[in-house]
Amino acid sequence: MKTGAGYETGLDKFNRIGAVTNWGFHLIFILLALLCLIPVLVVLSISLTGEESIRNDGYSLFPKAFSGEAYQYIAQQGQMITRALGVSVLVTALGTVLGVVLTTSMGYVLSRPNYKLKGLLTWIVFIPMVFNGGLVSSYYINSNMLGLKDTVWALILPLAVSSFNVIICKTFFRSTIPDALIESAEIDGAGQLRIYCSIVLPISLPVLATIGLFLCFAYWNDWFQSMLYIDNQNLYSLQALLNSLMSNVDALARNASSMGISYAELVATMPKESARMAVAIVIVVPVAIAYPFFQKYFISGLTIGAVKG
Amino acid sequence: MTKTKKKWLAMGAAAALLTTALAGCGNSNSKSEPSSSPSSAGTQTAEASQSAGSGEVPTLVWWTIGGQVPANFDKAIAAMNEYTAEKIGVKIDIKVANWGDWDTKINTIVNTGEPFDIMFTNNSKYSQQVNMGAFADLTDLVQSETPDLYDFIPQKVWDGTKIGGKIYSVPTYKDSSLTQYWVFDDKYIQKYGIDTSSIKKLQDLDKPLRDMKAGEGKSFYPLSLTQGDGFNGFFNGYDDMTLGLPPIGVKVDDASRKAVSVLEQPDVMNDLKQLHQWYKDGIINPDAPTKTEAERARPFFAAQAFPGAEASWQITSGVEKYTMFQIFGPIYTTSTIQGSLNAISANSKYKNEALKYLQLVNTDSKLRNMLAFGQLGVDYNNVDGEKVIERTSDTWPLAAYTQGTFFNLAVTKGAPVDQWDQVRKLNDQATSSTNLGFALDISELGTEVANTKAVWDKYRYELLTGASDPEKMVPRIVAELKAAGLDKLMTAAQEQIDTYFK
Repeated sequence: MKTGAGYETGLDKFNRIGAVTNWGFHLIFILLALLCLIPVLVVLSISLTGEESIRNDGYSLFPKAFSGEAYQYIAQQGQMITRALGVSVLVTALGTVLGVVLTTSMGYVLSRPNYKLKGLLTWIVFIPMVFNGGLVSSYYINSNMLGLKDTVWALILPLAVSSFNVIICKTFFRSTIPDALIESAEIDGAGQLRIYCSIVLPISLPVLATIGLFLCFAYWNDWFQSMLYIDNQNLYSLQALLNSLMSNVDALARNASSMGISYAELVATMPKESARMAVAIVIVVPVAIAYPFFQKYFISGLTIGAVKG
Repeated sequence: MTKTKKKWLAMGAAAALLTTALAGCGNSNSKSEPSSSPSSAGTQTAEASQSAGSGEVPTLVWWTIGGQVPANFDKAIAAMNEYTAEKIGVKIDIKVANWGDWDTKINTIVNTGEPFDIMFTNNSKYSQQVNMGAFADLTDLVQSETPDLYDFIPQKVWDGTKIGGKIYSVPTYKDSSLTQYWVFDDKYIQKYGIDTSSIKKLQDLDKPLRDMKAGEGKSFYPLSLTQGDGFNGFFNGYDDMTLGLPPIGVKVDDASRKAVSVLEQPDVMNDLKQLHQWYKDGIINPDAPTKTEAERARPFFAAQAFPGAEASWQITSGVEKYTMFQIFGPIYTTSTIQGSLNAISANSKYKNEALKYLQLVNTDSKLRNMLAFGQLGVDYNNVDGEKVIERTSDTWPLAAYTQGTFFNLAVTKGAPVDQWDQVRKLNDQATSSTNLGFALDISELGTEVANTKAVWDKYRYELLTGASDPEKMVPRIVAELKAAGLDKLMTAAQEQIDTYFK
């Protein structure tokens, strides 16, 4: 119908997707999108439904009896939640910066062919990617030898450098930075640090963004470190807080037999279903807001290593 | 040359920067609690090094289980410490592992030898931890240091905590015997003329439940179950020897103490069939195998209780009147006693002080109430001295059952005033499982226990909510359990029982 259609070349026509296929793909993607969206909507709906109505009618996509009592609960617990949010933000920001600096510099060093210990260190980095020391030994080192227990560093340092990221960096630097470029900088009299900061980093933004994103999400989503190393619950991250709210009810039910008559009383003190869902919503919001801004880097980051033309 | 020097210098500077940063953080986080400072967490207990220099009141680290710590937690603990420092010269630093995290957290602490003084534990871990040498042998100490505590707790209960004939922990003397009740919402009893006195076993429930289903309509499920709980108390007739694996057990009244494959016993099989029939007929809710949280108000349920417990259920569930009747027990088994224990670290510098503290918890009502209910005036108020209290918040994270006896604990306003006396009466009437005192030593059986538990976890939700057909599933489960080492476990259990009771 459009006037432009008249100028279509034969090749364009050939490449065009057939109407049926097009609708088919649309349908598939609409379905996939719904699959992702509906659970979030259900969680949102539960968080807005009165406890009474959940008990009587079960879950529904639209709240039958609207109630803000779950968010009231959050407001009461405000201090706890804002503190956890603060910890999460701090850990994510600090950890991402520190992690990117450490990972890329290590990757760069390993990528230089004229570095003597390259072979040995690459193996040292590579082996823990395949085998790791296990929970007990790392816990012992981190808490008893390094004394990280109950500090924010316990949330940051163990996750800052991963072998996988170092290898990504190494491969990137090896394949995209021409040796000649480094050599020319050396001829101009630049030291190693200067070459790295002024020559290598500026042309390596995609890998910085990728590693940054990986770390950012790893830090934001992490709850295990909190659970392990943090005894002072004021230092819990948001995810750890949510996780404990969610798992406490299950754990109570599992241990019901050893609690005897106290069980019923304890269950009654647990946050209600809708309150727990409300916490989940509160946690999702910052990521949901931040994601669109990161998305373009994320896509360019994902294609690192793919063939470029 | 100069290049290398520069490099070392840079590294040194970086290291220095890092350490200052770490130290700064440590200081800012340690606040008022000296024992939570990371710098003092060495091989010695934190508080040991702290008090050795100044000769101050020692602060014991007590690891326990609980919920989310509220903002006023430190204040409440400080109030307790003030009281106990004056009374027995001991302070505590209570560390709370969340209900859901407790398993992992406590395992890592024990495995890595992290210092602590007192630790809450229960039947799922106790024997293992004792075998690892984590806990101090209290057999003599408790008699010489804290005779009041030793006399207060009945001998039967002490026996239940023994491993290899030695006491490694202070049991919580509460509803240490198990009494199972079945509870009906009274309105259905009236409506359908249910005669509770004639109900003795699972099959007797068939008619009342069916009547209720027929009368209340299609979407009404008279027996509402959850995956974790199943039909509460289903395996009560079998002593699990603290193994926590229901497919192996000894019948509680079996004088010959024979370890059997519980699922294959005719009585258990009949009950399983009954559950499955109910599930098929819509008497059990169809989502039971996946349901995690119980309904607040249920027309019928099974629970551990004591005379008068219905009062608090009526409050929490909003049901006008519950009618309950005793169906099983009271009975002592090793597991019921080991449901809540507080052990003292083998490496603690303050074993005597820790015991004295536990004695005070068990004998002093004021401390007991503070531990159980929180900060006086904020979390609870005294209504009748230390005997009756009213809770004014629901954020206090510690659970009374993990700390000490119920019998010096205040009653919550609204509950029957003689509540704890009733519990005590049940304890006094309780019979003992023929296996009392015996706890299976699984130190050599780790693989088999883990494997069989994995198999059991795979099937138990469906089996115990009636969703799967026992005639088909039980043989299959038993076959898989056998492949995972059930036979070896049973032989080992039998051998250990025979040696223990020789």
